[in-house]
Amino acid sequence: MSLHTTLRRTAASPIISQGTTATTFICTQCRHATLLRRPKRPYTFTQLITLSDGSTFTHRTTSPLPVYRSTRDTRNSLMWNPTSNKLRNMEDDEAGRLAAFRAKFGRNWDATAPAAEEGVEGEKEKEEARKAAAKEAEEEEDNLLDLISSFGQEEAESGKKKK
Amino acid sequence: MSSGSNGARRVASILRPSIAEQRVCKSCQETLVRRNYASAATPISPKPSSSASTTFPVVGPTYTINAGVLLSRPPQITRDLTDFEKAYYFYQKRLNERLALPFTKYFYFKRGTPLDEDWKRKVRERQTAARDIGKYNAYGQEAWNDELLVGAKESEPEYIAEALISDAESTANNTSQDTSKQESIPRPHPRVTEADKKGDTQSLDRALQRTLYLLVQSKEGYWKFPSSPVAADETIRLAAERTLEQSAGVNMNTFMVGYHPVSHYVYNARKPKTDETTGVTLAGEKTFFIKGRIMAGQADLSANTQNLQNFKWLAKEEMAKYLLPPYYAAIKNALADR
Amino acid sequence: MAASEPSRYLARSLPRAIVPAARSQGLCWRRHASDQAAAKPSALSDLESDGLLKGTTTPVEAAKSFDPVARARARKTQLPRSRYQFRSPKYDRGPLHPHRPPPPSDPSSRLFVPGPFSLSRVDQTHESTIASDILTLCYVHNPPGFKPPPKAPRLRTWDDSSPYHKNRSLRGPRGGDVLRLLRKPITFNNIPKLERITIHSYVKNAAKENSGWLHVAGMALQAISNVKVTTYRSKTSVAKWYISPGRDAVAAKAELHGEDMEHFFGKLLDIVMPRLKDWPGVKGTSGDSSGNITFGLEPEQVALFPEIEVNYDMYPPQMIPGCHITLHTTAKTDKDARLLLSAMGVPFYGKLVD
Repeated sequence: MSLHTTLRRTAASPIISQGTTATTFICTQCRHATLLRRPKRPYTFTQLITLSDGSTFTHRTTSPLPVYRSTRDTRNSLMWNPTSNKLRNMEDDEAGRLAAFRAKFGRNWDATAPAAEEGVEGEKEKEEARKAAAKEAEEEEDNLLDLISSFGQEEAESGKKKK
Repeated sequence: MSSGSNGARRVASILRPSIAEQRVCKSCQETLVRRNYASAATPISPKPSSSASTTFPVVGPTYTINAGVLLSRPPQITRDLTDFEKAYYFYQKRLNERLALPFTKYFYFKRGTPLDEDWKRKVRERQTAARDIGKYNAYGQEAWNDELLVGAKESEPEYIAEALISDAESTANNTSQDTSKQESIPRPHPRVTEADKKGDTQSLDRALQRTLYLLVQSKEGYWKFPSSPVAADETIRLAAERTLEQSAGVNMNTFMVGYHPVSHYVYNARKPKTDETTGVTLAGEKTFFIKGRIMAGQADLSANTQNLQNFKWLAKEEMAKYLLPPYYAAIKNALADR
Repeated sequence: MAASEPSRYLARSLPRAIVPAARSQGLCWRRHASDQAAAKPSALSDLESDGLLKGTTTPVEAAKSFDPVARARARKTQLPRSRYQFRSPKYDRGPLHPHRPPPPSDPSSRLFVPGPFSLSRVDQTHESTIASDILTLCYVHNPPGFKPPPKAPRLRTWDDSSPYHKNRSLRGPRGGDVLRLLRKPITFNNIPKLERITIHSYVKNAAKENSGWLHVAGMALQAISNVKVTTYRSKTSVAKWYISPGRDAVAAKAELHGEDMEHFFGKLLDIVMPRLKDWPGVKGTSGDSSGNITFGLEPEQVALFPEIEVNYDMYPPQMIPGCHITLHTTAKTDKDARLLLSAMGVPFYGKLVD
């Protein structure tokens, strides 16, 4: 794109006594016409995204899916919620192996006992602590019973795994 | 400036104290002096150091220095659109319909699958691939008719969300094998919460579009931001953290933004008070506010040691009702508009 | 101005006792335009009442009875198309040509790109929360009257030890010719924000095998970014990689601005990043020391974008590309850029190099 436009004053000489200074455009139009290309943009849809905590937002996307429901996002991943106790205690069980193991052998092989929920304020906490203590006492007995009943099976299972 | 030798100006210039003494605080003066020494390139006039040393014994009015916290909850959702914005975005979508490349259907739907059949039927119905622009054919005879009439609901965000969700539901129902079960997708939560309807100003779930600030009420009935005097050997930031802990409890996950105060408020008492223990006359209070953000938790005044009886989470305009006018005027420009 | 100035000084310098006590608390003798504006009920009251912001006053009944399509059909003689539809000339023939194309912002222009379709979520968060926090965090207190110590000029002059030094251009800084960007103190008008995002993918098999790899890469990048990609040829010759200058197109790049960028960033942050397996975050040493942060995604990580997931089978196996994503910010140093991005939610790990 180049434009050569020269503007020449015909009255360049010091005689400016004429009322109007006439300017003449001398156009050497050597400019080629530029094709105005229509910008190419892919088709976009509006998509509603539902995050795991139920919050939603819309955005433009090329995917024709009207609603995208995410199961794993910033609301329930530990990296973005470093102080959340709920997420910290959650195991990675994407393949469902842990759940299958628990369905078979119970929860008493967990590394950590399910901790009582923290962050409840004031007197509620005290009451709940009392309740939890009572519950734990019951659970301990259950756990012991569970341990006895599943003792032999566990041995067999571990043997299988070794093979 | 004018050149007039005004009487008032002359009086003022006599009465006005020099800038070095009044406008610059003591620590800043010391910093200035130190920095001047540090930069050896600049010639140091003896005057600033001498004036700094002479101003030291000159005792101005003494104030109690308070550290305050502007604890805020940022907006949780996007703001409501104005009518103009809704109309604008809608019109741009319809323009886009005829200016973007056509949708490549077979890249997404395999020919002859139930999904493909469902897609074709729906496109025939609404005449376009987009779901959120109503019935509009960008390539037909009536493509010029792309503006909405007054009272049309198509540009509302609620309509768009509903259109998308109902479309997803009908697709799921039409393509699934068993016809007995109806798929239902949960609708988005309302933008106005329970706390908004009840007018519960203590809840953090209210006014999701606004920045909320923590206001506390002292036993005397005055509303203020949590603040308390700065102890010796304590920075303002540390004092602010301590104040927050002492007033609103530890059950909050907060983040103090920076070490500098964002605003300050000077309170001049009617009569200067004299502190019995030190014998210093106090002309009033100066409160410096540090900005804070709350991430999780809730304020709890049950264990406070600052003589507080009540708290509220309020947006900027709502505060004007509770705060004293000079207090609000001092603080309002540090508060977020949204 | 001149008249009000002395009285201002007078007011400040007069002893407290002279000034009426009631006034000294809140009011001062100065009047601000903003004070008076605040007294008005609303900022919108100055605007015309039937403006755009208030909505229209047309009664709904009248609007319901109005049917533009029926009206157009009822006309006995149809207008010729040229009477109601302006078509822009196909070529721009220069400023002196009698038929000029309309400006690109005009919907009838051939270059018109329909504008934002929504009020961006990322942008609103930046405006309402992040910008003010960054401003507070980056504040440096200088007492009034403080003058920063003079700095040496960034480009060094030549010592005139040789007559050949005359009229030479200035020397670059010591220890390298690169002149770093100047970091100005951050104030209200230069708060860092996201400027553009570049998604770049070098497809190594495009040179080795066939161009199909590049086509698939382009489709994948377009799908995740909503933007048509541009391809690039190699500039260097590396025999091991089978590339020579200008022979094959080997890379695809998508450049995102404005709304596309914000939607992509939101999607990347909220949906894709949490799903990356064992991903520690963006490396702390990343950055080009002028405020642009780059990180890479492996092919299997690119496949986690919802746009690729939806028709994953349509992409030939193993041909989904990896890519480098560069987040360009208006910050002048990496430290500021990292402050901005971590405020927006991008995780960083390892040693942070500023």
